[in-house]
Amino acid sequence: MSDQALLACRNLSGGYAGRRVLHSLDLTVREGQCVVVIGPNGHGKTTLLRAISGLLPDIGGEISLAGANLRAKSADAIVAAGIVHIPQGDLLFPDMTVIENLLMGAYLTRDRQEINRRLDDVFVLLPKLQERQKQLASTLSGGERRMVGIGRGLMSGGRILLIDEPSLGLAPIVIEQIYKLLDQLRRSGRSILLVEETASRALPLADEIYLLDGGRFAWHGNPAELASRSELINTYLGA
Amino acid sequence: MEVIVQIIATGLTLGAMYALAAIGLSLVWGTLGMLNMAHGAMMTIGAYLCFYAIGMLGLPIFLGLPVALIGGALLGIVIYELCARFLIRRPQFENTIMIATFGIGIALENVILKLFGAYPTPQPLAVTGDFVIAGVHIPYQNLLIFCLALVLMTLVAGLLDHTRMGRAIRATAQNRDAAQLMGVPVSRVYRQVLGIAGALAAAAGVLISSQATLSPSMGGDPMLKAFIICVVAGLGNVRGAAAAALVLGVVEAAAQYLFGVRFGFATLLVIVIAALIWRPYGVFGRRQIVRL
Repeated sequence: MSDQALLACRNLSGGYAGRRVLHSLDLTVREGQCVVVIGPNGHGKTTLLRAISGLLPDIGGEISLAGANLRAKSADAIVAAGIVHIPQGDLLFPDMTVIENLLMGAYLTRDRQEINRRLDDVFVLLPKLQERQKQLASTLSGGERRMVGIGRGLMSGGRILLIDEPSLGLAPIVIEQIYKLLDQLRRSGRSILLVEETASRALPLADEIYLLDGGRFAWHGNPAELASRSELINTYLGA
Repeated sequence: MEVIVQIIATGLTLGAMYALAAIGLSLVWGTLGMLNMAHGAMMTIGAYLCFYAIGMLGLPIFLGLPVALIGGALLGIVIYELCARFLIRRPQFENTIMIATFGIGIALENVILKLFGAYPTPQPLAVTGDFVIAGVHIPYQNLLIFCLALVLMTLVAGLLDHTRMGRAIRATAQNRDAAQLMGVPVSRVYRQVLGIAGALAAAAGVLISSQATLSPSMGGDPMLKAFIICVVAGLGNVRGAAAAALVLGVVEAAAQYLFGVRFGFATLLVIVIAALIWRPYGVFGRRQIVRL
């Protein structure tokens, strides 16, 4: 893990239709780090990721990737810069097959060999997708859809993965599979910014933790520091 | 037997022309959520461009359609750049763009009226002669229309299914946010879609005018029929629109033969009402389920 900031947000604010959701957020993800943002429903986790990936039209503050300013760039330019957003609820292309969805992940890559190499890597990591590659995305189960969403994100070959509530709406056994996969990605040195409502699964992956409350970071630090703060655990993690 | 052959031949010719018109309309709706009320005027412009290229500039007959296709595509792109691009991120886009393109359609018709006059003119892109199937004389013009429409529809299907641009168009149509997150530049996709729709509308205009005549208001009737076809097929469903156009073309031809010409359009309206009662989301459309 490097000390160099890969993704940095400074004084980030934004919202929808004049309603401010994010208030002056500072956040840093270093190369190879897994940063976890924990917060209750409706407190700005998804909005934070949408702001970083350029889907939120009106934002304030600075966002940079490896020192390059991404503020006011379009969503496609932000993907080209190396930020990969795996959204909540998958956002798959329902009338495309699994393989077409995966290939859309590599839309910006024109090197056929590189695309095939990434596809092989995804199939090694998620062998079920290889079995289902000709199946329409709309016919998959919730867990399979989430796998396609993650596989599609990996196909882009970006520098950092923004993952929005990967456990949302899934059965416990599927959540376990998804988190096993995320752990594999973390161990392979991928930089990850993960947002979750429930802390129990996400915290073991975390190198750094941010607690989001009402669109503001109430606290941030590493897991060891959090373990010594019982008041934070009681208030934000419900344990 | 002769009657059936006659109805099928006429119906497929009608259906092929409607399909070209409907595919463009459906593609634009499916991708941008935009009901392009200038689509009929784009057909008229295409028809007059072909007429101008062959009849007035004296270009060879085989260049008439390509000139119309290029002109129609450019017109579609201009409509995006000057109008849709500014409205698409604003509230009530579906309503504002309908009104805006309605205005553009009227303006374009009046430009044609000013430039070429109101008198109906024959389209020079026409072939003479006929061939006989089961005792029925079928004009080569019908065959030309059907084949040209089939070639253009196959090209569009190939583009959508087998090219990077096509994948980006389908992805944007299915989920704009997700497409953006894959790095698809959606503005470029919208421009391309309006260009393709403009080219298809122009081609439809050329083929329709080659069966009837050119006139500044010629786009209104086929646009209405194209809209009916899109609604019956399910708005935004491109393949469904092509299939529905061919079927409705045959139905219209049958109704005209059996009940009289004036009942052709009425029959289409009855079918659209029945289809909407049976499947409000269209025969090939998908039911929208909203999770509350």
